[in-house]
Amino acid sequence: MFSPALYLHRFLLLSTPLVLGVVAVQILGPVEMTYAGTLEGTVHYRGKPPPPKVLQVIKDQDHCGAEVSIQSIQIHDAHGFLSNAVVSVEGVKGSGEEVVEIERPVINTRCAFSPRISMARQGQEIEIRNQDPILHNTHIKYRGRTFLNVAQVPGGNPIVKRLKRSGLHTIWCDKHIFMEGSLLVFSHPYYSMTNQTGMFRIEGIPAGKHPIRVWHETLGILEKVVNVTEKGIIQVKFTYP
Amino acid sequence: MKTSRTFYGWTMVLFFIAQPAFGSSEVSFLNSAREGQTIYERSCLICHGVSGKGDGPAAFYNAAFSASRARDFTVGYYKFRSTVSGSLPLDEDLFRTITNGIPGYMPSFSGLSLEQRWQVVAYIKSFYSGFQDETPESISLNGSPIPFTAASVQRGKALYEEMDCSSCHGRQARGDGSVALAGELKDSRGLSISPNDLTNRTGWKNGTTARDVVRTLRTGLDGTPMPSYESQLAGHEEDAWHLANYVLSLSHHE
Ligand code: HEC
Ligand code: HEC
Repeated sequence: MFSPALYLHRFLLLSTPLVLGVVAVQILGPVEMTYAGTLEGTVHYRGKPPPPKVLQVIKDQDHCGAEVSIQSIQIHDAHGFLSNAVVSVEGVKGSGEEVVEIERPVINTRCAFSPRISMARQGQEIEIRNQDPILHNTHIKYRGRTFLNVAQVPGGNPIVKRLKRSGLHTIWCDKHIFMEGSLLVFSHPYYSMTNQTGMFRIEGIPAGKHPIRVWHETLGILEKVVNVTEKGIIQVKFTYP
Repeated sequence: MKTSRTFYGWTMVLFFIAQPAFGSSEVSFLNSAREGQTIYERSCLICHGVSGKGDGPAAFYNAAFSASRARDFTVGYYKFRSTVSGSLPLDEDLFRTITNGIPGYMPSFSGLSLEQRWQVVAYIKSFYSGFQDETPESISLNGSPIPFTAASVQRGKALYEEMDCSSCHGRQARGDGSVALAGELKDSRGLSISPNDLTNRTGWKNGTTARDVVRTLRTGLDGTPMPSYESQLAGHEEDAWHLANYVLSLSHHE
């Protein structure tokens, strides 16, 4: 039987908490989001790293040397702590704060990029410089498309370019193909790179279950879902291969 | 593939009909792209492929192991632009390429009417979504030329050394620089690519006037090792013209 009075009663009963909630928010201001989680950990490499890649230099040997040896797997002590691995929290949005407008340097020095592996926030700029006494071209590719390919003579003008998209940007010099680098661009601030002793730390992560991703230039990607809680520090350990 | 595109096309048409607030330019772009598809299927598909990936039946014929294979229109890089390195081309750039063709690689389509060429421009842009949300950054290339004189050629020769064009193109500019001879140069697809022989302009892709060469030097050819020298040449535009005069002098008396 349809009874308007009963319906009204139920409606009030159910909607009262909602109304109170809205009123509370009005009075107390917007609910504070908790950005409290901290993630800390280490990245390891198990075993003996393969021998370094050795490349012959066919141009500018006077300055670059006759050959170049590249060991991308840099490990520290018997625990195999791995440096230069980039750790990031996936599937989270930026915290809404302004992106700090700093220029990320990409420097051609002694026939290598410095830093070789770098990170930036979407919206920041890179500044490319050439400190060598020879011509370099800094060539950056993003998803198969040229992001930039610029020549710089010795002492040439720095080149500034904004990073508009997130993801992996690979860097090389066509004139010296042993010059390689990677730049990872993120749409949020939750990323970090392992230091000399394989450690990283990311603060202020929104609480919740997030996939945590580790990227290494030659070892590839590792992923693990971690429940980040509001209080305390969550410890994680990743191991290649 | 084709069905889904047709379906997409019709959905878009209905969308625009239902939204008279949109400018008529969108509608005409759309009609244009639909006409363009017919032209594309007749004239371009054989090399550029059904889905624009540069994998048409003839694409591998002359570029199985080395550059240059027909352009993949879904990736968004273009060689022949009047825009900064990394930028999309202007419509005019695409129009010019279609009109002139690419010597040795792609026929000229000057036989198509102007309208048909614009229609096919609209259609090939539809393969890459970046054309909808990026504004190409053009470089002003209207500067007045430096006359072709012995002094200018001389200055250009010095710049050719200074800017180390010879690493790739060679001392004698025959495309035989040490980096090129070592086989180290690759295009975006990882295919071996040779720097042009600058002493024989009949094989050039991006035009043979001084203005064309200035454009190549300032914009670079995206997707290839040929870099943009814009940061060295901005504010020294005359240097670009001296270099162009020098490069042209190498095949001047043929
Ligand atoms: C005979 C094969 C062939 C046909 C037919 C052909 N193309 Fe191409 N096209 C190529 C090749 C090869 C390239 C790449 C050349 C290079 O990278 O140097 C290319 C490149 C292009 C480019 C890119 C230029 C740039 O700036 O990078 C455009 C635009 C283009 N073609 C449009 C068309 C259109 C439109 C048609 C049909 C009207 C067409 N092509 C027909 C072979 C062809
Ligand atoms: C890192 C190697 C490299 C350097 C340095 C370089 N080039 Fe190139 N250049 C190339 C390659 C590779 C091509 C061919 C691209 C193609 O075929 O698509 C090219 C193409 C060109 C073209 C285009 C010709 C055409 O097809 O229209 C010109 C002109 C040119 N280079 C001039 C120069 C000059 C002048 C310099 C020095 C200021 C220079 N290049 C420096 C690699 C280089």
